[in-house]
Amino acid sequence: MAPTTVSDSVPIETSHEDMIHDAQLDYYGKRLATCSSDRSVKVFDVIDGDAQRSAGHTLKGHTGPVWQVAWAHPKFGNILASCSYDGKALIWKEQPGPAASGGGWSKIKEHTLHTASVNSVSWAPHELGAILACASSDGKVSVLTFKSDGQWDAAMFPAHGIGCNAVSWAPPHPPGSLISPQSTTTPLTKRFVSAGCDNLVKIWGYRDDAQSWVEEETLEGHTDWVRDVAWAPSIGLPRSYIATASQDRTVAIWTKDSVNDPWVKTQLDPSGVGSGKFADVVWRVSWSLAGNLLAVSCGDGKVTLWKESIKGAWECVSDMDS
Amino acid sequence: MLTTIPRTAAFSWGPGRQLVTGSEGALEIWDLLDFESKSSNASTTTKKSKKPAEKSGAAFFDEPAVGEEQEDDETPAEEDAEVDDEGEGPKPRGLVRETGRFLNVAWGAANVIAAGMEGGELKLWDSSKILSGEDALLATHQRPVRNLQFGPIQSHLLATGGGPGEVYIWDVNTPDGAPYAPTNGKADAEGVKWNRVVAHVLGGVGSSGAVVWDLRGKREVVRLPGGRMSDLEWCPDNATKVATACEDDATPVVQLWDLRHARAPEQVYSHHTLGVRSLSWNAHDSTFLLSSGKEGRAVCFNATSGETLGEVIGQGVVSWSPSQPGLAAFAGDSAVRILPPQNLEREKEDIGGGEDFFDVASSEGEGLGLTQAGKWMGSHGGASWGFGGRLVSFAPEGKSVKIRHVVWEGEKVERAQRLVDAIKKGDGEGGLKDLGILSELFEGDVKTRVAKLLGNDQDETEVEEEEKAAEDDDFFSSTHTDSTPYTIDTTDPVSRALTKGDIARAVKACVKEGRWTEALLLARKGSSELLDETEKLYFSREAGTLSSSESLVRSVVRGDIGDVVRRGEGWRDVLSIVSRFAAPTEPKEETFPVLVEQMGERWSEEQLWVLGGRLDKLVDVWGAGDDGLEGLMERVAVFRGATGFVDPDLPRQASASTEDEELPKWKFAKLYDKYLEYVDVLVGQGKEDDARIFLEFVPAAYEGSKAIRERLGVRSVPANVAASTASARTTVKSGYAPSTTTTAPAYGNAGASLSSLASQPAPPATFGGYPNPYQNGHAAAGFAAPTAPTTGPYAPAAPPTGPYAPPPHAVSTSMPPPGPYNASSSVAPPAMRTAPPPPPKRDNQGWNDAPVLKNTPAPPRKSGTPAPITSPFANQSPYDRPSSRGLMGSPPPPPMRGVTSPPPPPPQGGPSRPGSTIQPPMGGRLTPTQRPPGPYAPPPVSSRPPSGPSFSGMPPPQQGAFTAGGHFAAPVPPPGQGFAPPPGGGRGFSVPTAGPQFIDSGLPAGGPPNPYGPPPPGQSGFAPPSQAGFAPPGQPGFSPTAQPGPYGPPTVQSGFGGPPPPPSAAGIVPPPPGGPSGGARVAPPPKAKEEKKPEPPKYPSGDRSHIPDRLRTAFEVFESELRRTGGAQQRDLEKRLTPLFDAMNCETLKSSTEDGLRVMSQAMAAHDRPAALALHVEMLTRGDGDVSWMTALKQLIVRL
Repeated sequence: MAPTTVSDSVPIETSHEDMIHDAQLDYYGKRLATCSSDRSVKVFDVIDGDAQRSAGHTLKGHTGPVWQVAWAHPKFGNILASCSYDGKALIWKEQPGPAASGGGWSKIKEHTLHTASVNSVSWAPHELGAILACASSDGKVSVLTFKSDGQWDAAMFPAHGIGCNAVSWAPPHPPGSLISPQSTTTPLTKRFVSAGCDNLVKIWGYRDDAQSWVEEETLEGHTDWVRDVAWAPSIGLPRSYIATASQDRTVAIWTKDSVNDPWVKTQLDPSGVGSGKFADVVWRVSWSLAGNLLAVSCGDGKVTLWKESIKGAWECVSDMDS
Repeated sequence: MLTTIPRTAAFSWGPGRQLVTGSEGALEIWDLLDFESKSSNASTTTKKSKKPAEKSGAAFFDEPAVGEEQEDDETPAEEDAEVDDEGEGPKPRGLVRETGRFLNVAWGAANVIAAGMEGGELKLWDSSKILSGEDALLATHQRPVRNLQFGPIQSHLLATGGGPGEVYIWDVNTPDGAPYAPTNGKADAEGVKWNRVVAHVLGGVGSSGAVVWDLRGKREVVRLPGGRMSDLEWCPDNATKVATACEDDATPVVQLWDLRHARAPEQVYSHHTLGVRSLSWNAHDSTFLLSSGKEGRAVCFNATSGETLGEVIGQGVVSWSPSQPGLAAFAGDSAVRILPPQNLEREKEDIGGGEDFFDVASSEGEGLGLTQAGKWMGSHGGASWGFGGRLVSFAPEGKSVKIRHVVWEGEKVERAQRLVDAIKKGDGEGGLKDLGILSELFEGDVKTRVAKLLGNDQDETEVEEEEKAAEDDDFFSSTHTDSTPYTIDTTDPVSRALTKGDIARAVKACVKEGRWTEALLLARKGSSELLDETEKLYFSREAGTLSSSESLVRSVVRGDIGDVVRRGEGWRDVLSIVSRFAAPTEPKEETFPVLVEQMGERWSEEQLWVLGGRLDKLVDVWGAGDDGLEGLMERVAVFRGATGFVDPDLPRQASASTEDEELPKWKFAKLYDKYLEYVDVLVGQGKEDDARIFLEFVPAAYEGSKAIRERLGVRSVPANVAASTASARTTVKSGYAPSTTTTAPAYGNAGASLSSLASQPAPPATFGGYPNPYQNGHAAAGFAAPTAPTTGPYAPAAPPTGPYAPPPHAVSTSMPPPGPYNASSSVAPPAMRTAPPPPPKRDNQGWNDAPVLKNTPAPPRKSGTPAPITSPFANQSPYDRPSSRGLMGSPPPPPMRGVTSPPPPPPQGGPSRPGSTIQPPMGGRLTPTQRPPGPYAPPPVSSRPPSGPSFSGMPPPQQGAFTAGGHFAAPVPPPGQGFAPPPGGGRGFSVPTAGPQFIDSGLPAGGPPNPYGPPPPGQSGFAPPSQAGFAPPGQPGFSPTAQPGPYGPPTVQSGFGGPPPPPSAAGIVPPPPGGPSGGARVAPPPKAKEEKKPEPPKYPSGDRSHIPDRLRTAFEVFESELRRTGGAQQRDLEKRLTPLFDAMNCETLKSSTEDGLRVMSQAMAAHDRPAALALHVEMLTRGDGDVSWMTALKQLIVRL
């Protein structure tokens, strides 16, 4: 396989006062949002991989550690969602203009339906609209749909009894759309996967007729909390991929070859000797935008990159300090 | 989630989510999963925001609702957690009937459940057998056991405490075996707990305090003094720290000890008011210590500081779940409650005055209410991806972030890089030829290629024929003449017709008699129509039965090679015929290109497709090859470059039609898809600039390209821009060698393509299709801009023939395509570039400000010049399409649609250039676009500083102001292009340098640095062409045409000679080419000069003797101020002022200008700077004065 090269990077000091829990680049890769146990969210400008010296913006509003941030698609404006131990998910928007006249970042929505920490927020593919899914320690998942009249709908339902740690949306076009002809009326996929403290991974689909979410499948296999889940972006093939990271120190890749096939689990093997376990708890998994490289973050401070080989096995192509 | 196990029970956590309870009558195993709510149906709650909708449209997130809470109109319905169909709640997973009363129970990792019974027994069961329903009892021992615990480290060891001398260690591997008594029976404890760090240390509590034993050493280590202690808890991560709970109501404290200093506790916490019953120290985060007191409360507090973190009402014993962080069990008198760490419900409820805290606390929403998040929450380190192959990561507990660039398709990237380099080099070294593919394309013209293709067959055949012919040398020598007399027979219709001179009739007569040969021969004497008719008749006499030889003859004779293509078999032979007999230019359908293209339709032969330019078909063939996407790209690139392929669809812009209309299909859709695929690959590897090169080949209107264009566009970075600008500048330079003719590079971008074009006038420009890579930089910037029309200027759009019409950037339109500038004719310069559809008028930044435009119709500055069309825009509103004048449609930069919210001002802060816009047709057409093109407002992307002098964003002034009379104020000298001073000696050119002048003019003073501010129209009446962001790279926007005049087409010259002035806007206008003297000019296009000759100045430059009296004073003032400057500055200013002085000398200035100068000089003489500046501004506004020397004057004023 061609070698993977990774550039060096000078660390960007965020000036957060406590540990960071998430860092996300926006759609264009020009801005970076970070959030921390210091209860704040910060937004920086990034050019060519370097945060601009002009200090970023600090967004305050949470009363507890902030766990995740998520950028919405730019077509909705400059929108950022954040979630926190304080049980809230907040939506922030950047208004143009100088601060004096109302410009800058401000909080525009508060979602307080959860009764415990909101651990994860994830925007649906923009083709589905402005929809945000939230996962909470109260065991429930909520799906907020923002409508153009400024109102919003919330659907909330129990997902994983003891707590839900993460949610990730499926790509909007049905798998295989690059291969088979698609009529313009092919409906978009409205589906997401959740990761729970019950060691389970569940797939939820929306039913238009019933206007509700239905649990479609449960993926079992982990032996401890599933910390993160990521549904790979589509590369046009009929195959779907979901990656899960667990407290049990394993990362599983679940693949479904076609609509009628079951999900098959493969475990990543970091040591190459078959043990399949990482050195420490695996906290995050993230697919590259083209959908074919998986970044795995382990509690030992390492980030590894994985790619599927032609034979279908997963190989580690790079390894770096996080 | 609330779980309550309705048992008054001895209780213990088990593995995972399991628990065991021992209550009267049974030992039961439970699974928390059974207590969770059913999740099969999700209910929907509609939460309405209170604020009424204010905006329409996609205003999803428009109203900041700061401080505004969403009110709970309804809470989502949830299904009850505990009630199942029978209304009895979840059932245990396993059960063992027991008659005795349980004092305590423990479940160890070794799958053993142990219990101390009231009757003084210890019982052991196999937990898995309980679950499977089998007989599970392992052993019963007659020992008093009040408390017991399995070893956390050695889980097969069970410690039990039953009072004085009744402390035992059991090994459940041998359940029946006798226990070990530590310290030989002297141990006294009712409660026992193992150390969690060191395996052989055991702690015990009882009526006399706490004791710690070292079991290996078989000795008592330490005694902790204190009253009666109910419980002891070891610190989960520190072997020497332990907490004890005092049961005495008088001292209901929790004490924290460090065994190394065991005399006294380190901390004493008094959260309880009555004796403390139990303690639990969280295994996942040792901050959290939990205790329960007899007053009926359980408190969670910070072990180090004592700060209360949460509280629950109830009586019982508490214990954290060892496997589910944050979950605690509170086993009380009536039930075992499982408490989640948080339940924000009670905080949300409106606890009014009447509500009792107890009621609330014991309500459904119950939890510890931990105000601090445990270490098990959040993410410890993480990584996520961003556009362009970027990976963001942060370390566990870290406060900094790293952003890295990951390239994992190294080989592909290298290959792509090679390709991009080859494209840039074009025909030169290392260029396309050297890629080693499709080399036959480089072998010269079509005929050669065909010949080669058809190989030696022809040669052989010819040789044969020649030989044969040689044999038949005598063939034509067998003619003879007849000298026998004969009578003209008038009964013979033929003869009769001939005697009458009626050839037509004679022919008809012959035909009737079947005398075809004579008919045809005779017909040659008649009209051409007669011949034509006769031929037709001949060939159709037996319709459908012509032999193959006859058919071929017919086709050749009739000029219907198309028929051969349609009906001939054997493509090689057909190709021979086609190559030999195709019509040179007319009719179109009989020309070689068309015929070959048709052949390509009929035969699936790669060579045919290559010859016929059937890139659409070639994509399939090459794409299916082994070489993958990269191989395809290389082949396409070579093909395009070598054959000058032009995609007519490329400039097609987004149609404004509604969905009803059927959009024409894209002929090269597959090619575009492949390009987009490649762009994706490159972008994913972070090679955005390279990706942009290829994006140029996809029409802007092509649906699939919108997303990537947007994303790339916005992403362009100033840095790149700067880089490309520089290169653009240089490239432009080359572009301008106007070789008069032709090749007017249609590209706006100068760039390599230009140079090549310039050097090879004849098309097929090798770069036919390639956008100038450098341009790309720009273009990319510009184009990428969302919705930017696309394809960059570089795409030669249009007429495939010859010079490319300035490819409208996608937009454009106006440009009459055809052969724009072909030099010479110039004139009517084909519209300049594409004026992109005038962007909607924007009100930002004063793009529309060009106030001056109104009166600037190319003020004929100098007499004698043909009213240059010059700046068509001069008096047009910025968004006019190219007017009839033809060109320059104001190329307002295509509206950057994609820009939402205030487009970030281009780095330069100036009106950005919207990318593209006018691309000055290559060839130096200047487009005097008027500035306005504001719309580019921050094209996010472009920011490209215009090449050439960019003044904050001014598009390189290409615009040179045109002086009337066809003098162009050459917009900033095309980078590096030295344009010779406009023909005509530049007299009176005020070489306006576009651009800078504006900046300098101090006009629009406060205005946004809209350099374009008032176009100096005044000056030459041309609005500086194109500000357009793109200022065609460097190309001085010469209005193309504007004059065909002196500047003939391309040539920008406008007097700018010299290298593009440094962008700095310091108001230094690019030194006007020193007027006639042409400072550093670079190869002024001599030809251009020849074409149009402005009148030679009356007096030679430098002559000052003829300055009229009325101007004398002014001149002197200026000159003395100039002298005062000194140094290099003086030289520079002098250069600029020379044209002014010359103009004064020759009296070629407008009278209003003269007046203005006079007054200004008076102000200067009086050292009245403000007045002088004001006058200066006024003059510029009026259009009096060439930018270049006006700028210089300003410098002088400033120095007053």
